[in-house]
Amino acid sequence: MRRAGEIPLNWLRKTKHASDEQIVLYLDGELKPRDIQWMREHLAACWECRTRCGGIERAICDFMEYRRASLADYADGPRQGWPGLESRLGRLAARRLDEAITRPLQFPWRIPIRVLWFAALSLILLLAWFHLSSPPTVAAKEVLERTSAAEQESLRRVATPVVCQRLAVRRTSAGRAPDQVADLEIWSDVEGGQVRQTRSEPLWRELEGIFEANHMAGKPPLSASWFQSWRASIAAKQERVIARKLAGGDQTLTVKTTAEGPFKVNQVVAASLTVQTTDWRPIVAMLRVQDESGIRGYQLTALKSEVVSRHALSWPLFEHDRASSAVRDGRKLRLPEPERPSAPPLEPRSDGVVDESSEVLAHYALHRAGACRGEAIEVVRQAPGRIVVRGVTESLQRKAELVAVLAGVPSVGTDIQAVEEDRFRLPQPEQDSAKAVFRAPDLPIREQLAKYFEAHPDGASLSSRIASLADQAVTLSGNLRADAWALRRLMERYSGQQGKRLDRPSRRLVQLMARDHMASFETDLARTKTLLGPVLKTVAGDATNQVHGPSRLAENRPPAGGDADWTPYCLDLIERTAGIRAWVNGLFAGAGLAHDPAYTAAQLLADLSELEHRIDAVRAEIARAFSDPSDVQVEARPAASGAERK
Amino acid sequence: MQSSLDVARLRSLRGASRLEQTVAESYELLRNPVYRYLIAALGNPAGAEDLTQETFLRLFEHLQHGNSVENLRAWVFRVAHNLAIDQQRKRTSVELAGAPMFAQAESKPASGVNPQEEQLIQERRRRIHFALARLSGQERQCLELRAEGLRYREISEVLGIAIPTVQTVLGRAVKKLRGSL
Repeated sequence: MRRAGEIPLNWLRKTKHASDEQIVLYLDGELKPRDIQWMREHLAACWECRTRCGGIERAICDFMEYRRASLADYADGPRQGWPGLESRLGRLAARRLDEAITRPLQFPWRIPIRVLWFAALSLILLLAWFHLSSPPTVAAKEVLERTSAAEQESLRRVATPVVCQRLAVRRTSAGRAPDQVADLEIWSDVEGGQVRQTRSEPLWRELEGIFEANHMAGKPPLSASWFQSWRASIAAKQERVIARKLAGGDQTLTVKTTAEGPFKVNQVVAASLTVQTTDWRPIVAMLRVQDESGIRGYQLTALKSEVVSRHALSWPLFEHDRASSAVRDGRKLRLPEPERPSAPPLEPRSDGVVDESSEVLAHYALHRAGACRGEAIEVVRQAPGRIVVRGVTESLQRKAELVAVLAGVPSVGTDIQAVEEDRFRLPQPEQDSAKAVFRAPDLPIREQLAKYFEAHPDGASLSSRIASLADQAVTLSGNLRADAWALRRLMERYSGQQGKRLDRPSRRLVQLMARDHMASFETDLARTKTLLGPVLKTVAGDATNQVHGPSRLAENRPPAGGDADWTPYCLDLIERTAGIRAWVNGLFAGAGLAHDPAYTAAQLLADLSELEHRIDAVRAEIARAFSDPSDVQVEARPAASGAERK
Repeated sequence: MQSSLDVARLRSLRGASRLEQTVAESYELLRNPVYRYLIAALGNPAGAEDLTQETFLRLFEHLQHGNSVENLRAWVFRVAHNLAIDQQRKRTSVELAGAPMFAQAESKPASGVNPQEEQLIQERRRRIHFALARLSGQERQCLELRAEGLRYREISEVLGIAIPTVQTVLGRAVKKLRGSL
């Protein structure tokens, strides 16, 4: 029910006339579906809109009729029709086919010509850069020749060169066996053709066998001569050189040589040597070795390489050095076969008495094994009735030797470790002693020595005579100091009342040990004076007159009479031998001099003479210290031969 | 080398034949509407015939390059329309498109009618002729395309205008035609 005056909106919307545009949309079927019904109802209801709709329809009809009449002549379509178009399509297809044939590499996409030019230019620049940055092609022979020349140059700078190398060695097997790794310190006497390794490494023994089997022995590993020896020994081979750049930017060249089989066990199948082109120094070598079950590989990486003079070494390392012994930093590396005076055979005691007597027996066992001359071995009383020999040896083999000689000593245990077992308790030799070992090879008295040897020719070359003299001088001075220290250790342990508490056999053993060291000391002193005396006189010249007054040994001479005490004598020997060693090293190993060479030579000569004069007194004092009216008189004897010991 | 070229030729020809078939079918379907539209646009039957063939050649190339066509009729008319515009731009003098043809239709007698009806028909044609002459180009193009059966959406694609614009233009054109009658 509507109220008065109210008009329904729906009626208003229905009575609104449609526009011409809406009518056209309606006639064209483009009107929205929701408006179509409204349009139909409206046209049915509205005469005016229906009239306009009819007018529009008539206009459209007239237009279409007009258009039909206009285009009546063209009702059949294009006159040429499909045949005309088909011929054009055929020509187009043929043209496309020709383009495909004549331009087979045409890209399916269109690339602007500028992009093509840019790409071509970039490619040319890239190729040029590669060409310039890559090293020139070289042959394996040329690489090895350059490396060998660099090695020879470094060896020429040093008389009697010894190559010291630290190598990291890794062994890999074809199977599932884990890799073995070792750090080796290798000393190679270039002139003598000897190679030594200062640690006992099973891996090194393997490598030695391989080097022997492949003509690589006697040469510094990881060197051009070493690689060339194997390379020259194989008849047929394939080689190539590979250039690489390391992370640091250094360029390397790797010579890869592959031999042709068949191969025997331990024969190198293939090897490679990588050298740095900056200094032509080999840095890595790879060996592939025939095994019984396959191929195993070895990688040798250079950690350090240095060339030193053999006479600058302060310990005997090679066979020709073994005639004498030396110590380095208080630790003996290798002992020569000892020339010892005869000593009673070591027999285990059966009376059960320990302490002093067992301790002396342990000392004597070590003395006979040569471990008292600087090896890091000590005899310690841990508890009453319990004595332990402890320390560090250079190798497992040396450890086994010491354990064997101590096995017969009652109540004595051993706590000995080899270096490879005890790296954390001893400083690494290469870290602590490197500076002491690698001394400057130039001798301050080289000119004087040259004049002296020219005046006393013997057929050998000048350089070899100088090197031999320096070598012997350094070795002998080391021997003197080693014996002095051995005497001091005996003195510290058994002088005075401590020595008197020993029973008679023990005192006799201590006396024998002291006598051995005195005899050895005396022999080495005589050899030193014989060897260096004439040379030192020549070098000293007028400086001999500058050395006056009593020596320190004379000043410290103990008062005569009273109880025998060999302590000051031992201390004086230590001090004197320290001075002699320093002067010898300064003159003959280039270790530096505090004074001028002439004065140092004069001082050395004076000390050697003074020491020689004091030997009899020291020996007598030691004999007096151990004298006993009821004891059998033991005479000091010179060094005995091995047959005499037996 | 020769054998590989032959294979390439055969493959190309096979591809071309398939395309030709597609284009032929499209041509049969749309050649008359396109032709008529071009005549109306250019007023030149010979030019319209060339452009009709050119339109379908463009279709052939378009398909040959691997492209696809969603609405064939709209695509073909758009190409034809663009070709007609390019043709008109080349003319040195601007002519009224379709004027000669319309003049010819005005004078063409209607068949099967008595003289009075003939007179009326001629009068309506004359009025339509003058009404068309007063339409703008876009209005006339919309009328022609709509006369060829194109929907508003297709007309908007061909002319590149919005659908409401097509509605407005067509409504205005029809109103002008009706006003002239």
